[in-house]
Amino acid sequence: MFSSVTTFSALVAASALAAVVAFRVLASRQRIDSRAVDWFSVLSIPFGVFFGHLLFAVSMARLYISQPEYGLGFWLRPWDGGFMFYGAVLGCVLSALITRRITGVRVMTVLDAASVALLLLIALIRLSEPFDNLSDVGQGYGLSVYDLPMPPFLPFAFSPYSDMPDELCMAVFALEAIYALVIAVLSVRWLGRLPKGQTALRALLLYAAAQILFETLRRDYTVRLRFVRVSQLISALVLLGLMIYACRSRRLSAKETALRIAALLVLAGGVVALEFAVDKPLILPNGEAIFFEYWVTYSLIGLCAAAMGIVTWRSLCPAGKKEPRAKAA
Amino acid sequence: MKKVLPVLAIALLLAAILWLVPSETVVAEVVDIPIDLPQKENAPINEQYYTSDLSYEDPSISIRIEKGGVAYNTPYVIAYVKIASPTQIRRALSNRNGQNAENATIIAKGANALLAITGDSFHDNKQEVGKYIVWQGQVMQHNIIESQSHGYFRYFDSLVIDDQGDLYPFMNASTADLETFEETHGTKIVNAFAFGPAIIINGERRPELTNSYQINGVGWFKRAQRIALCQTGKLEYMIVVTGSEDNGRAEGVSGKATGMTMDEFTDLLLSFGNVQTAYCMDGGSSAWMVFRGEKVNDFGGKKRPIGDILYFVSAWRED
Repeated sequence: MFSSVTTFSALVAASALAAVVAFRVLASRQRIDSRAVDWFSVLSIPFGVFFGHLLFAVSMARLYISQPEYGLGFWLRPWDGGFMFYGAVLGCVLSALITRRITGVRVMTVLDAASVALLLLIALIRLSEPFDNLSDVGQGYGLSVYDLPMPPFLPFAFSPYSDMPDELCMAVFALEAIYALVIAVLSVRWLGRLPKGQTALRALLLYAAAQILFETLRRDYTVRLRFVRVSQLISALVLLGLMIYACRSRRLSAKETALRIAALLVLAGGVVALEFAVDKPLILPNGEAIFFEYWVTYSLIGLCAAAMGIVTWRSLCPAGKKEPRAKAA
Repeated sequence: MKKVLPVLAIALLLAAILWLVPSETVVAEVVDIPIDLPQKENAPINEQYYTSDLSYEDPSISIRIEKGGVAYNTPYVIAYVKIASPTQIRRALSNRNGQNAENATIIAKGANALLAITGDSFHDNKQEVGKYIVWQGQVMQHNIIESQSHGYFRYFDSLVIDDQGDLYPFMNASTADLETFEETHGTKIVNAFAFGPAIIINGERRPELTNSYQINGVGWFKRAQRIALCQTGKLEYMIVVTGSEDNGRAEGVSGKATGMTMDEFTDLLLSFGNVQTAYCMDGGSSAWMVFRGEKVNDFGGKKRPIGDILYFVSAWRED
């Protein structure tokens, strides 16, 4: 019965448990109705798993449709394939909507507390990635340290190979985990101090902006549509969605909205161009080829991602002005 | 004197025993390696058969690498390989059956490869559709989408390596070409690659193509780093890998290397005189030639992690 339980799956289950406990503690501090806490706790786990896998399956649709032996049931088999974090976020949003229907507690009230739990969940799952070691190789790694100047120790570098401990690679999983924990700490500080929904939206913004860079750094398995990494695409869409929401909430003019969105799209275009430059030369209109070192392209992508985050942040949380109120669902 | 002679005779007879007593004998032979043997279970490399930094020879395989060639202001490296058994030319995937990208040196190390080169970008293939891919007898993808409907990837050439170690390129391959291979050729497919193009077929240059011709997004007239697997005889191969603009300066090259167009690369291969078949693998910064744990074609460019390699192993077993 337990033969199919792996170290990684046990760690993921433990991470989910920790996230549920964290949610319940924070919800209690925020004095959220205990019924709502119970309903959300129960609903978010299966919905998070189901939608996390569904989003993965949708991203891989072209492959699985062309290989019919996978069968239509693939979409419904969470144990077959993988998960995407944004799918779990979607599952949690749905859980919050259902919780509101049942208990009357506002969606964003629940999601504010849940956002901290989700960040804790992703941090712990990232830390578990090296134990996701099918064929004796863990996940969560980037380029070899010989191709990218990195300190040869955690949290910067590690060896994903159980039989080649000297083959060090960038420890992307560790950087992602640390970043998620930092946002989680910030979110705890924001809870109760900001209007309802602002904690969740800010946490989502910060996560999405950084994910654009982290996905680029990964050299292990990433879901892609042609040359675009799906998580990067979704992260950019999340930022765009937050931007549109913020502009509408603040009732900005159409021109102002268009300018902000244009800035976001230009920066996203920069990321796309730099993605090609990571492994290939950048061809100028005059035909000249420019080759960048890995650390240069990664740094530029990081700057673009940070700029996307800042542009969206300044729309969502303008300095010195009244905070936009989150609409109750 | 009477006592000395017997003692001397006995001593001589005892000494003769040193040569007459049979000692342990080594049984060694070339063995066929099972097609489906996991790459991690390949026999370890026997270091004593390295004859130099760029050559290896045992009774089952001979590898010789030549560096320092320059053509069209571009450096290139050649590897000559002769094997005794067709099971010695094999394909290995990066971890998780090619889903994760790794440096070719790591894949080669895990497979105990004597010589390894880039495959067909299997890491990308895993999420791309429309190709026919076989890995050590196992069909990984089997549905070639015909060129008219495939959009960006308008043309594909496939390469089959059969159980006799022969290379069979298919221009603009169709699913039927590969599914009926065993029936039409009488041999089995061990590995099938999907990259190309095939630039030399039956010793002849591939027909001329138009200016806008692209194969798998690889510009025919673009100057880039190229790598080709060639067959020069029965169980004899040659691998040529060139540099390109993203490499540093190389000896004999003025300024930065320019890279080669497909026509120039074809000319280079034809100049060697004995190439029967030449098929291009994934070039650019994905081009690797690995020998003795090092990237041989290290002209100073990037080392891009890849999803699969084609490699050679020894079949010499000493018991």
